[in-house]
This record gives sequence, C-alpha cells and structure tokens, in this order.
Amino acid sequence: MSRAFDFLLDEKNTNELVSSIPYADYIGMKIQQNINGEIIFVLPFQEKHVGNPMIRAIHGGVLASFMECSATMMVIGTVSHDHLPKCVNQTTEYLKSAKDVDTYARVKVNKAGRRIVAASVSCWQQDENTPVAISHSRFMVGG
Amino acid sequence: MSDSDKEGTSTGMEGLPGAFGDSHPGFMEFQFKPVYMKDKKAGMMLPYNKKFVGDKSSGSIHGGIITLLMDTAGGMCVMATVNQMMPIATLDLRMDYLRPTKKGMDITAEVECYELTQNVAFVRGFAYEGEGDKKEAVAHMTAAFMLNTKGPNFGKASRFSEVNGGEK
Repeated sequence: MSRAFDFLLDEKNTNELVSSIPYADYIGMKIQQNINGEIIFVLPFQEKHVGNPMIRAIHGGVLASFMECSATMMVIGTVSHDHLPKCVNQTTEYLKSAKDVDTYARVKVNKAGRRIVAASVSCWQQDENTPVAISHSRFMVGG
Repeated sequence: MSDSDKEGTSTGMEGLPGAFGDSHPGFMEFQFKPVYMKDKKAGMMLPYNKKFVGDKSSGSIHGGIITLLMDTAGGMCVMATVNQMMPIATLDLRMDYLRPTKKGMDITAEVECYELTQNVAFVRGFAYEGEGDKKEAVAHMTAAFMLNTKGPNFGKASRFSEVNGGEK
C-alpha cells in the first residue's frame, strides 16, 4: 500500500478533504473504509437528493456529482496531493433508479498518467453486485 | 431573455416550470430557475452560490452541480418535446467541462432535444456563463432519456407539491 493511499485512511484527512470542496460538503458525502480496509465513498440520503418525488428516487445529477466528487477525492488521495484535479469529462450510465436510501461508491483508478488520470466509479445501494450507476471520468492533474 | 420566450410554454404544460422550480424539494434547495421552454428547447438558470464551489482558491463552481443542472434541464426539455409530463429516466449522460467557471457568475443551461424516437429521447446542450458578447460555453452535455418509465404520470398533477404517494 502506497504512502499516498494511506492519506485516505486517516479520518482527519478525509474530513478535511470533504470540507475543502464546499460542494462535496453540501451534498453531505463521507469517506469510509470497509472491513477489508478499502476506501468506500458514502452519500447518506438527504431529502434534497430526491429528483422524482413521486417514486422518491435520487436525482441522476446528484448521483453523477457524487461519483465525480468520489473520483476527485480518490485521485487526490492516490495520485495528486498538491493540485486539485480538474475533471475533463465524465460519462455516466444509469442502470436502475436509486431509492431513498444511502448510496455507496467505489473508485478504481484505471490509469494514472503524468497529465491525465482515468478513473471509473461504481455506485450501489443495497447490493454491490447490482450497481445503480457507473461512471467513467478523466482528470487533468498537475499545474 | 425577452418576454415572448418566457411565454413559449405549450398548452397543458403550465405546471411544468412550477414542477421544476419552487415546488420541488430538491430544486428549491438547488435554486434552479426554469427560463424558457419552446420548440424542443429548454433553458434553466443556476444562480451562483458559495455552497456549490468546487475550487475554493478560484471560487469556480463544481462540475457536479453543472451536471445536475444539465440533467434537470434535459429532463424538462424532453417533457416539453413530448408535450406531456410523462415519467422519464436518464439512460446515460456525458459531460465535457470546457473551462472552469468564474467566481460569482450565474450558469445558464440551454438544451435541445434533437431526436425523439418511440422510447428514447436524445438531448444535447451547453452550459453558458455571462450574457451577450461575453457569453462563454463552460460545459457541453449529451444525454439519452428513456420515455414512459415506471412510475405515475406527472401529467395528473400540475405541481409536485400536490403529489403524494406513488410507488416506492
């Protein structure tokens, strides 16, 4: 496990990281570890996340922004400490409607280049094997 | 925006700006303001808010809230195009962030539904900041929406606040 990765294992760091991005703080996301010590991003359900009040589904845009924030933080934690990574683009695939419960995300950094980092995020609710959404994003890192 | 544009809402869709505006719990929170709906196009405005900042050093707002705005504007545009508040769902959505936004600038989404099939609506649009000569695109969006998904028809209620229940 790299030194950079340890950064996200410290709760003080993760709290600081979330509060350093006002929008991440605003949607109320958190960084946790599962029993295997893997980094899991959590979006505890809030009323303002609801996009369709009739079926009480979480708004797709909220999910997309949660996944973007998760990926940004994973990139900060593992690749780029010094600069805030800039998202170049993001593709989000919606697989099923997200209910009014907590949402979890796992980020995989697929390629950490010198200038571009590619990451994919899988986002689920009750069962990790049936994700509600998947996204692929690219970040510009450094200067 | 001239007054004639604002009056472009089609018959039977009067509730739509309300549904996407101040009567919706989430959109009230995000302060999205529907600007116009006309000829398969829709506009929606996001006033600058410190809560939405993504980069504290520059004050530019987070890409996530632009995605949220574009997704919402896209949905509104689809409903305007099919001329009915039918239940829809985003299938996929791609955002390209063209440049960081400037501190204190409102963002306006301009979205069009460029193709409508039996089941799927294809939508594209830009997010702009500034007005007139200084108008600059900050992000581009393409999305596909599934039409007539599960769930009650929005058309039965003109405002979300009048709705309760529905399937879970």
